[in-house]
Amino acid sequence: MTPVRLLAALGLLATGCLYIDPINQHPDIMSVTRQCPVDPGSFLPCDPEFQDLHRGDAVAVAATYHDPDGNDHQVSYHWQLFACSADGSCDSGAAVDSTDATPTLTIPKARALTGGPVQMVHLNLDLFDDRGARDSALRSVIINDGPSLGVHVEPTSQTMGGPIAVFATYGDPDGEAADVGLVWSATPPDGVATYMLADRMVIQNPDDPAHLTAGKTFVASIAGDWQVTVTATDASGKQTVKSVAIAVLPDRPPCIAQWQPIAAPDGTALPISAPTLFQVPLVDDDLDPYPAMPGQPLLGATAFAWSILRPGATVRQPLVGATGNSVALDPSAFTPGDIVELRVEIADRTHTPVTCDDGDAVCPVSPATCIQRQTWRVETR
Amino acid sequence: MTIARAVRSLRTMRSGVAAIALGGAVACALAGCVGGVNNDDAGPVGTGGGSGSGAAGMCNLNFLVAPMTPVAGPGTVVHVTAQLFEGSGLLDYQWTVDHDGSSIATTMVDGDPSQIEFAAPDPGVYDVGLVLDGAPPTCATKQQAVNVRAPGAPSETLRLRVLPPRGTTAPPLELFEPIFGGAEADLGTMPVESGTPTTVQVTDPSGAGVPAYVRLSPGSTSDAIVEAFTGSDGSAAVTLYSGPDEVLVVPSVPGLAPRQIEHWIGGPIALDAGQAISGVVRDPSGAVLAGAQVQVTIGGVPSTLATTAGDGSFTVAAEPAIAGASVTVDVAPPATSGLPRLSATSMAWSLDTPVQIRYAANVTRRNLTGLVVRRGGAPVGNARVTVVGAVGAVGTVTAGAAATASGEVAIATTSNAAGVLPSVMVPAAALSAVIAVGAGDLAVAALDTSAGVPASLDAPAMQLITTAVTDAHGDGLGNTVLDLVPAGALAQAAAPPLQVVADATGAITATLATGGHYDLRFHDPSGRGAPTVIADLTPATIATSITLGPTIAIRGTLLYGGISPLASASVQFLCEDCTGIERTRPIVEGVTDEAGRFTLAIPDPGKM
Repeated sequence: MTPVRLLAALGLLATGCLYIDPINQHPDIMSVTRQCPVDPGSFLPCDPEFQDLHRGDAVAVAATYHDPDGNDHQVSYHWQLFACSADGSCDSGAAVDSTDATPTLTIPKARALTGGPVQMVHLNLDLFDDRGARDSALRSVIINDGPSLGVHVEPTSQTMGGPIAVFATYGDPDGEAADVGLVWSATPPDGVATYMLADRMVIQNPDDPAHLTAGKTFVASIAGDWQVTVTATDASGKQTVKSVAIAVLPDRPPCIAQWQPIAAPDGTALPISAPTLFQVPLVDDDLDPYPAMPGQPLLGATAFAWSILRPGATVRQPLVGATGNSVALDPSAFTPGDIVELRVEIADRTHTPVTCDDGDAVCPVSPATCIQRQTWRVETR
Repeated sequence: MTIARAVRSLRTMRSGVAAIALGGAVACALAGCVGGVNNDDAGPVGTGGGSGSGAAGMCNLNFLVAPMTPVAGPGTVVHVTAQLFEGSGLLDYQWTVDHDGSSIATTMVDGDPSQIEFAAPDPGVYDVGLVLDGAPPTCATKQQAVNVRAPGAPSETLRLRVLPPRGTTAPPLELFEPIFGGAEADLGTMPVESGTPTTVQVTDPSGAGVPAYVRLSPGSTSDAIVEAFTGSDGSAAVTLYSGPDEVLVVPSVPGLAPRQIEHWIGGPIALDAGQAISGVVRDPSGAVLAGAQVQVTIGGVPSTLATTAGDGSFTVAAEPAIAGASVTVDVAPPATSGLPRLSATSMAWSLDTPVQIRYAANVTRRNLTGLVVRRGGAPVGNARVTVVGAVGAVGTVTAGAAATASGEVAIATTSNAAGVLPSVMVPAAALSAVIAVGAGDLAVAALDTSAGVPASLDAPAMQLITTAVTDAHGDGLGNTVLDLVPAGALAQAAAPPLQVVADATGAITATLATGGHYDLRFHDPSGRGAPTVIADLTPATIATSITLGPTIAIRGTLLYGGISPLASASVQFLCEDCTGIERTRPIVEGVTDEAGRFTLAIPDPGKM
């Protein structure tokens, strides 16, 4: 028994009354919020504080409350949504009624009384406990006249020079999504850097004909915090503007991820007695990987540079024209027992210099596991 | 089960997890069920591809596909039955079938929602999907590809090589995949199992560790080699699939013979001095030849390398010869001798007796001194000239029995500033000279020294070639990559390959060594044209237009341990029946994505 109920009981006993009944208190509504779906595929705007609501939007709502008598008491809900104009005048009757705990309410498009567009709604909740005690909450929400608009970035690596997919999902509660025009722009971190925003093909969601999605391939020329802004304009000229921040990372150096055959450790040599293909089957890079990725025109291919240190030579000789990922070495072109060093160095479009000493068999940048040079020390047999 | 699949199964059976999967396949085969990606295969790969495949005791959702090998045609109907094991409840079957980007209509069979039929008039991959509402979450969905073959499709078996990313504990893997022409195909999910960490220990007769190069070849797929260098303690850590491997050990220190073990299943590998093979090398006059390098290869295992002493004698250490083994003796004479390299092979030699190696008396030599290297009539200074060529019978090798030796020439020299060659001896024969005028500036010229040395050697200028690469419709294949791999004399002189990329219209220009021979290897990164090799062309014989054949897309999914996607794995298709270095050149290569998937465009079998 709570202290209040105990005091009430003691008071009644002092008056000689034998009937004991606790004094019930009404529940307190703590919050009324919009429930946003946990749906990674949904990019429509959703704000718990009812920002950016449009006519026709289906809004899931929920409330939290505290009952001084204990939250284990059953409560009942009465939700009402009233359609209003901008001047605050509202229909007398509720446009939507629900007694669900977490109903989904659809914002009406027009007022019943005037036929004019809904420009504001009043959302009222009456919360009753099991003894009929009530608390009420009223929220007035301005309805956005402009198009609905959500902007998101594909969650992939965002590297300067590389393609970044940006999508805008839009609609028009007063009309057709097809009548909404989009204008895209980007704000560079330094205010002047160049960028590219190119159309990309988007498959529309057949389950949501009220909204369309447009996509752009964004390419930033420098690293830093960029902002891509989309302005949606409906047929009546109403606009909605949304931006998305994109932290564009600097290009990272390419890494030789696979090589064949094995590279000999210092002081030893790989014996070969037959023509052998030295190859780099895999290069890991954010912009220019190998093998190149078909269908990604903004991604390039790794540049390979091969060189050879012939037996007795002191200077490594570039293999001019050998720019592929493999080079064959025929031991019969050398004398048995010769030591030959075959070296490959890779670069992406940034052409970060390989700064290690020429004598270093491998050359890593941070992290040390990412190497841009591999050297095979070969003994021809 | 095809032989290729049997090989794959044998290979994957070497780990416990895969053995379970194979057991499932055997059970399926015994039960007469059909299905699977390749449809003629009830193996573990075929039953994968969906969330429904689970371990024993778990809910399991499988598809049975009939007929086993659908062939496209106007009346072709594919029947798919969903089988749910260890699951119960009221089920709602939602089927989808997609082909070539379009949804395909399905028909329920006999009022049973667990069975559907769909028409397959066109060859290719039909992706069958099922959402099973009411089923346990672990088997509520399944996706499986059904390959529908083209009528009369020719087939070709290729090797699929997988190089798991460094950091995983899976060794390289090779699978033999029969590829049917005329349509794309899905190879399904392929388990890539973890190997067993193994320590290779190489020792000398005293038990001390020996640094060495070690190459381990799995018994079932010998190309999926694992290589290692043992350290000074003789040990190296490798990861292998269980099972016998063929091991080649080449010590990095003198005095020990290389060794090959056919069926190594672990344990220390002890090296010793092996069999001492001795002999003498003599020049065409019968005089002993000092400074020549000799190597004996027995059954593919090389001996140590020996240099003949002042009396022409040599001794190499080799693995004891097994009767009937093929033995090759190679001799590289001193560069100043002007003699060709000598090589002879026999299975009849007795290596217990001294090996007599003698150049034929009729092998004569010429001195190139004074020969002037020219281009356009002007001397070319500091030109590197490599004289190459093959010479017929150049001598004999006798060890009990006698064998005729063939010869090869590879002698390099450099002209002085006036373009004049110094004193250098070469065999008297019809040879070639590969002349490096500068970096990347090569020429190939005939150098016939049979009757004498010419006064000059002309190095013609590089030759510009233009060609266009197109598809079968004549459309240019922009950005196609062309590798020009030196052949003939250029290859003998170790000339580097060239790589050029077609412009957006498919036009290719390259500057090649006049007189040189090249293998042209085309590769279209976009997969529009088939990887194509045109062997042994000269700049003059390269056609002005080259058409690449059609491709088919082959896709698959690699699952590490049969469960998690294997991303960033290198995937290569290689030919099955190639030999030598061509066996190691990928026809096409790619990489798996985050879902472990790969798609590679390979030449359409039968249309290459």
